[in-house]
Amino acid sequence: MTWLIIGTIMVGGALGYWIIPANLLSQLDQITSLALGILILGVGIELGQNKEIWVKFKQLGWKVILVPLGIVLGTLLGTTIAGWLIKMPFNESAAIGAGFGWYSLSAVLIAKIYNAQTGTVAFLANVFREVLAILFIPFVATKIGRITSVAPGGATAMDTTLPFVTKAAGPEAGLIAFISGAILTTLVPILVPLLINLKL
Amino acid sequence: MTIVLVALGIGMLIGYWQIIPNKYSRWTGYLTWFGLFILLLTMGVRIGSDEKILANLGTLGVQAFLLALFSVVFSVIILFLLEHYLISYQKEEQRKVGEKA
Repeated sequence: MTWLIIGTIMVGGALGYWIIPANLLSQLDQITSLALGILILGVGIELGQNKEIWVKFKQLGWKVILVPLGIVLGTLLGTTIAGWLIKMPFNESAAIGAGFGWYSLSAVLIAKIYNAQTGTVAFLANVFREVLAILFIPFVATKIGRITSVAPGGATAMDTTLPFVTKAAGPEAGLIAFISGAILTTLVPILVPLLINLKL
Repeated sequence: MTIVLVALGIGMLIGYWQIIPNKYSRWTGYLTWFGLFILLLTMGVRIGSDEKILANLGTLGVQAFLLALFSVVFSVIILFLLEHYLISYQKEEQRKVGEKA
């Protein structure tokens, strides 16, 4: 899946470098808008179908919502500080952070709504987040805290980094990871467009 | 931007009310992939035809790494504080229950 995504971008990159002239791109706008509509509609359907989350929510009580909220706060704080260090405007660093590790969606959203360069950084930053999460989770779970080990994965805590949390921190943390990841996954297509359009 | 929020809302209602019969549910996956494929491909084309991005790919990578590292570290810090609060709260509750007994 990851290689398919990277491969598609690279094929596009080769086409753009050697074959497709730049002026043709501006004419592609309607096609990409349509593709974005289809993609987000499909994402919405999949999120809406995921009713498992309500059952799990009831099992753990409302306080579990503090976990994804804390991850949102920490992530946006972290990317804003990093953005300040590299002199990146707040709307860009915050929107990149709001990908929460979902690199394919956050990158194409930013590339389409904003610009290709920021989309590139969003793609790389969110790929790195997933990789760092896999490296950090075992350490965080054993040295810092079981629930805290849900944090590095962000939105990926419901799928790709879930097995790492469950293995390192146990099934209860895994349950929290799933709920937190699902909430963050839902927030990606909402927060990324809102934040990238912020003018401060 | 509006198109994203509207499409997401409509999609979630379709998914929640299970408007699409089960035997076609595979197709929503295919559609999502198709949309993503087109967008990834055109993002690639835009990157490939932009000399500024290609020349700065290394710098952009370093920026991306910093953003990723800070997002992981700060979300760990916030959740560490929260976890302490949640656990001490739980203990407090247990203590109170213990006192009553």
